[in-house]
Amino acid sequence: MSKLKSLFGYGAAVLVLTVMVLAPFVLMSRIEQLVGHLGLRSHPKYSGGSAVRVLNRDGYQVTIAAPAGPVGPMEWGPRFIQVSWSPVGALPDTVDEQLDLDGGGRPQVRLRFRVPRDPKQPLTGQLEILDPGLVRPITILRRTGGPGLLVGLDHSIVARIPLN
Amino acid sequence: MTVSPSASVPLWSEALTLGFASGSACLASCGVLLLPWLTGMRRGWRGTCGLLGIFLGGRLAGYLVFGLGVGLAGRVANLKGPAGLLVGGVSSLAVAGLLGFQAWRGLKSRGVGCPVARGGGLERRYGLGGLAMLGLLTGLNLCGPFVAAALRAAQAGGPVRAIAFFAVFFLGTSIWMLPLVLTGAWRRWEPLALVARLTLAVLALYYAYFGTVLLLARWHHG
Amino acid sequence: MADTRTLSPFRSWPRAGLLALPIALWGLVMMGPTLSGRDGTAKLTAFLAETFMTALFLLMLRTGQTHRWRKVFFITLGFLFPVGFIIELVRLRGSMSIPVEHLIAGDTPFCFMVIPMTVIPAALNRVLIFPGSILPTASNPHAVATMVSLWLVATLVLGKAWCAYGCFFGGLEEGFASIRRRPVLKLLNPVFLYGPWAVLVTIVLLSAASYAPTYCQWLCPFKAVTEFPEITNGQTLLQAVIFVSLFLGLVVILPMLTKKRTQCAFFCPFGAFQSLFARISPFRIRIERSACKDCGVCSRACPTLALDAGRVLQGAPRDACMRCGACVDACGTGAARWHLQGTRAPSERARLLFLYAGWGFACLFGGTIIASSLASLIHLFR
Repeated sequence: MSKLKSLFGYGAAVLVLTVMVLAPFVLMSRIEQLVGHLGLRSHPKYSGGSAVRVLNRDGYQVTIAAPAGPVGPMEWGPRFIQVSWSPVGALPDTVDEQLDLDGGGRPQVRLRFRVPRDPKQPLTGQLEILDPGLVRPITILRRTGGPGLLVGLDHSIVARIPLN
Repeated sequence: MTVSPSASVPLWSEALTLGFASGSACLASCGVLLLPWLTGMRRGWRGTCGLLGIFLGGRLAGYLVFGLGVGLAGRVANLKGPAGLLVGGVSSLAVAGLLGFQAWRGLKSRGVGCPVARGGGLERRYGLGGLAMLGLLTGLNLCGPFVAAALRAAQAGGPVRAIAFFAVFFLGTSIWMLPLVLTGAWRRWEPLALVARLTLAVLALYYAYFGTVLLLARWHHG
Repeated sequence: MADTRTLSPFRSWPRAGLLALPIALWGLVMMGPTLSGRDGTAKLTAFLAETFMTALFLLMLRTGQTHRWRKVFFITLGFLFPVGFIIELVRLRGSMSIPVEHLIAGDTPFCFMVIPMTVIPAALNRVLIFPGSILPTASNPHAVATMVSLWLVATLVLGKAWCAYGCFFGGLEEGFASIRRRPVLKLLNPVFLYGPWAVLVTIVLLSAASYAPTYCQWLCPFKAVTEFPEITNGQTLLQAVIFVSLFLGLVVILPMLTKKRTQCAFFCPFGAFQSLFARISPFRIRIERSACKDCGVCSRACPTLALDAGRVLQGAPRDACMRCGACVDACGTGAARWHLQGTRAPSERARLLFLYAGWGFACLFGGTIIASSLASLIHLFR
């Protein structure tokens, strides 16, 4: 019995050493792939939710996502709809867009902003509520300092419009 | 809009269904507090059932008071607006106080090694009263399902029906709380009780922080 | 301190050198891609780091002391990691704060501390409650999958010993705890040793209820020396105050006063989490009762209070033991020893086998961090 236990003990030690040696060459990449195949997705309140509509414009696309944000009993923060403007050719100097956020056929908001050519330039959007009820009554979207958000991301512009 | 008596059966089944569908959310939010509280009390099965009953009683009281208010008003204020932030902030700070006091009682009554004083008199009353108060405060948690129930109760047609709606809603949610009785099984494992009491202390700090943040948001809202 | 010259067969320089050869070769393999690259500074620092790790291992074998030399590596890692990390952050973003753009883009580096909080939401809803990316990208090499794979390997190889050979935060405390010769405070109610478990339970429950990494948002002391959300309102200011206060209290001041790793012993939820896997490792510390004189030296030496009089009587430390070797090094009778579970292997053999695994991992992980941080530092001044 003690020989068997001893065998297991040394076997475990060899196994540990084997894992350590194989880790950087085989194991870690395999485990990474495995985790990638688990079907995990980032919570929509971070990722902005999945795209539900893509609108083609002249030189760019507008992507509207599904409503996202906190839903659980202790989650807090505003629910929002993320809208992004991505250049196909180039974004215009000014974007003035009426947005149908819920796909009902009528626009709920109108958003206007100047597209900064210098990333360090501040980005501010004027929000006009066309159909109250869905969207929180705010008028400005900017990078910080409010429930709404308007940021430049790579070459795109992303807005998060807070909902009621 | 009021609901006609001929639609009363669907209304109560609606309340029960809504309650049961929302119960997992209630378990998540209440379980955070109840799990360490009950574990730290170190009661057996029957004792834990009694404690859970006290907590649920406090929670029911909170639901009924809210139901009465909603039924009388006939509408629901913007619960996510400034009023909601204020209620949330104050109740979170109150919860923080309760948790902190319970943690302090549990930790001061022993060092390492002896079971918590079962205690009669003031200590026992404080413990049970605190649990009832905790139930009341968590019953006023303005989460999505609660708000949905409030909106429906406001349309029920008067305060009596609104209270009854909330009572049935409460029943539906409370089914999910029953597994918490299992904490009675860990009574003999003392380190777990110690961890539970320390957890209450950490949670008290979190709720103090959470309440402060809500009140800051309320103040910023203006 | 034990006269280990009569205890260990590995004392001579040639023999120690021979036994250190695998580690030297391993270090070369780990640094190989860098050593064969074009960046001269990176090659230099990789060589220095590799030499440093090999030299420490050699000294461990030659002197029979583990903790003394491990501590040198660990403190170096603890102080160099944040330096290198901050330099890279400032180079990439211009500041230590996490801009909202990175949160949206999923470019926030995933830290191993987040792992316990993500388990329940991931298991229930396959949702990752962290603003990071699942797989590595050009803008975020520290993705979830990468860090989880690293953690899994570290747990299989080290178990709880991660806290002494892997954690790049622990070295900070170890460094501050080493400043004074004697402790000023000797208090420390043993009830608070359950603190890490309480913090772990709290953050797991809250994260499952709020679908947010509550430890990162609220409690992590190491945000003070890595990255934190931009301070834009009262809430983020309050968060920053909490982070800095916890860091100063638990990582700087208390370790200096008590000469213990107080953040690890009383607070760190990841340490409690790793304690769940303490028994995976076949390498243990044992107290041989027949040789023990109950002098208490081992208990006083333990940096995380895993040993006390009761545990010494039981012959083994708590699951919080991180295999740092301090108790073994301090023991004057050889009662505290390394043990390979299930075997009667002599202490020195068990130690050697453990060190091959543990130090090998340290070279793989900590050694490469030391090299890259040094390179960042040199680039800064050039």
